[in-house]
Amino acid sequence: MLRPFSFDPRCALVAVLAPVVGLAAQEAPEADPPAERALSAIRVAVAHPIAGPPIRDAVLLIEEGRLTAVGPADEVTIPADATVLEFPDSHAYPGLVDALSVAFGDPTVLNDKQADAGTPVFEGLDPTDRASRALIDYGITTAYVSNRADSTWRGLGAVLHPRHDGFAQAEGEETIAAGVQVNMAGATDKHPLERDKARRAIGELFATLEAYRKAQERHPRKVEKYEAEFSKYLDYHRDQKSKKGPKGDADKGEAKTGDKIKDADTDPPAAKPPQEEGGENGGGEGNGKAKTKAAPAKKRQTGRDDGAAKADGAKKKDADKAPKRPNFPKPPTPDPAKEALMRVVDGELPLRVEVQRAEEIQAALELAREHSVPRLVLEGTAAAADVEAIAAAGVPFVLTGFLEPQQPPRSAAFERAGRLAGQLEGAGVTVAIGSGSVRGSRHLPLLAAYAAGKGLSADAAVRAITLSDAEVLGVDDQVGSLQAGKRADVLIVSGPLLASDTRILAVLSAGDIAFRATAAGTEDR
Amino acid sequence: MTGPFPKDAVNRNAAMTTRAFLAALLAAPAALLAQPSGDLLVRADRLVISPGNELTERAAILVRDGKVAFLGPEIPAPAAAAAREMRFEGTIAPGFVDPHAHLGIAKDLAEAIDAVTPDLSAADALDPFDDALGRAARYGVCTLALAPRSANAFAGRAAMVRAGVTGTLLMEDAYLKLALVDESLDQNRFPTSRMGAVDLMRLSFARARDAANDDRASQAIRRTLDGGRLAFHTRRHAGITSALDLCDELGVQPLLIGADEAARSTARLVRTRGSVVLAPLNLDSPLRHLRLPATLEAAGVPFSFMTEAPPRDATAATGRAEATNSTAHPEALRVSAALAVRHGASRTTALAAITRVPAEQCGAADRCGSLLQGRDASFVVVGGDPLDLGAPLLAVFVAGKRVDLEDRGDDR
Repeated sequence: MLRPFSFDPRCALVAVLAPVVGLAAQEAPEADPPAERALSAIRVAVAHPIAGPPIRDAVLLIEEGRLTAVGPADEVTIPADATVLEFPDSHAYPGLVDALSVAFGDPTVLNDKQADAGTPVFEGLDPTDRASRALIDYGITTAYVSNRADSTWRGLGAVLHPRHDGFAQAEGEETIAAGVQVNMAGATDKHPLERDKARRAIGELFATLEAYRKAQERHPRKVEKYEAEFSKYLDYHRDQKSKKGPKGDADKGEAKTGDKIKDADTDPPAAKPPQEEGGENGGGEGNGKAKTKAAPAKKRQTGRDDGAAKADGAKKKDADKAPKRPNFPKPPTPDPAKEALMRVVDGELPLRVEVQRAEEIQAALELAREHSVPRLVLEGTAAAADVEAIAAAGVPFVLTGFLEPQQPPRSAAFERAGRLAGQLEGAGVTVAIGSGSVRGSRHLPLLAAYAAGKGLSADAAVRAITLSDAEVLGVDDQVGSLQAGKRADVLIVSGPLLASDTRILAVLSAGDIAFRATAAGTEDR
Repeated sequence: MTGPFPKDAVNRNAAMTTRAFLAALLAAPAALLAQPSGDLLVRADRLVISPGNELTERAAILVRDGKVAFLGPEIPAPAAAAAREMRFEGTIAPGFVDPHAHLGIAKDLAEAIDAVTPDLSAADALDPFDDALGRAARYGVCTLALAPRSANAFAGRAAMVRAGVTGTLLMEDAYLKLALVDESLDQNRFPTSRMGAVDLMRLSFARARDAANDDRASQAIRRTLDGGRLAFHTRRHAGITSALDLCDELGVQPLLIGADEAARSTARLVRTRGSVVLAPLNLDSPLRHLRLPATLEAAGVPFSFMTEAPPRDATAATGRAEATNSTAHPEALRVSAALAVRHGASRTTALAAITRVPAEQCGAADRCGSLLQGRDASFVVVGGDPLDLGAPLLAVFVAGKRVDLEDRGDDR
């Protein structure tokens, strides 16, 4: 019944909200201006592709967020419809890659001591963190974030692209998890026996992988067997039904069975109405299968109680023939930790081990050898290291924390740690630099310069915050150098990257201008 | 031969005299026979005599008796020929100066029970064999002001020390240090608050001005007011204001140590020709600290960097002085200057902040902080610009003696 005049509070709410929603909808595009996605070109005095020698008077072409051409101005023709950005007297570098960061990391998440090898840090990141959002202004276009807890297992680290509005995850879903973190340095201060115990536990987990993998592989075979048995079971009953003929009763029964019985052709959990199956399979063939299946059951029965079976007569005999309904094989319990480690053993993810002492490095190398880990990455502040052994194993090293704000308790160790970069480079080890802190991330070029001052060559130092990091993270097909086909992450600076008085002029992330210095020359942050 | 021994802490006993006698006996004939003068000639690509004053041609320095004897083109040819020569590819710059450092343990330099101890001298607590002195030299910090810790209001007098495996006292009375920081307040004695501390300071200065008061504290304060330097350790704006007020009342040039919030007082600092000693900058410093050097430079306030960092957390700040051992690595001076340049300061000002300015602030500009004739031959040789961290430290000389840059495990 409709009343001629009524007040519905819901209508009033809609009426009040409508303009607000409309306003918000109008404002949204203003807050997020349309990105310069179209074709654009950047002209700089010197481009440092990292993958090759510097290019003077260079042009970078960008289309759809990707670099399409990088070369000297007289070789790369700028299309007429391109937006050209001129940066005279400037240097272009690839966007910086922080190989070890805690950007967007919620402190509680990044100190999760309960993490296992498969705990994804990505799930706990906080895209609203202001300091992390500002990293893009400092040219950090890619960062690897991982749990930094003082526990042995730290879970899966993630590769992110910092942005003003949070972060974008690295291309392709698989690269979100960019490494399984193990902390060997955490046990440094513990008793040698405890250290040994922790290390053995790591090895033992690796040792269980084979059994886990076998169980995983066995399951599909079991399911196959189940399906075969189940179809026999199904066929047998269908056969019985067709003998009885179509009756009202039987129809009911069939419908009932259909609800319960699962289609053998599909996965067991996905139940399907059995009608079509009846049309396909119901026949002599299915019947035959059922008979062969029933035979061993009968044999068993007769073997056990021959006389009784005979005495029961034809009715009972029919029942004996009926195949037992098989049980669906129990799937092995999924273990995210082991799943993650299997990806490590398969070479899909690197195993990142934090080390501090030479002995820990030794243990990490042994672990990788023993359990054939194809991609081991060492990270940390090591004072002394057998660089030859690291080089022989072909393992890259992510250096971090060598420019600590305060004097650490072991000053001599700190001083030696600074020189490790040069020693590693000398031995032929790939050196990457990670900041290890959100604020430290802003000073990535300074960290590289510091390493250069302690013996790393200038080229390797710049590489250690760009391409080497991308390689270590397994994203070198996407970022780390100025090459056609890669993400258009570009850092434009006023001079050589490692010089103290070099200023950041602009930062491009996936072709979008994320930061641009104001006319006064001061960074607008 | 035996090297300059520290003024104190060395027992000048008979054995020492014998050794000196033997040394003289051995050295005398050598000097007569061989032509080499004992001078040292160091050549490089560039010589920064003092920030903003440099030579790029004929960059050389002639060291005689631990002092700068001649520079660049002024070096007499015969002296150059007779001198032992070293050549580096890089820049010679004045040795870094740390205007406020603590060495040793807290008990060496923290007088917490009595609030007014201006008569104490840090020189009395110098351990010339402190590992930190050797470490400082290895990182180019050739001279440092050993200052009493901020455990009381009138902490005492700082002393200038030459760094090295064996430190030597350069001069006493660098400045009288006063503290207006939380660590200087103590619940067990007056003052327990900053207002109490300011009042105590005002009272003590008034007492000292009355010549009738002849106690040691008043004498020490009187000496300082009569041509010495006063340094206030204070971090926050309120403390800075109190310090500047006191300096106005006393008619002395303000020297602020710490002063993280000096950006608010630049106009007043310029008017009173005050200067600031900044805490070391590091990777975790907030942006306002990183930009402070550029702000001070733009305003025209001289500043320097020290190695003493503020306590790490609030609990340490309110605790006793023992809890606040927060001395940064000596490398923090160069890193701070580089960070200042990264955040807008000029290279000249940033280099001055770790050489000339701290020397001036300690009243030791005629001894260190620049390489003018007659100054200590304390300098660094860097393979590039000293403010680019990518430039390796090639050599360090303290008063003409080359420092072994390798860590010999002596600072464990």
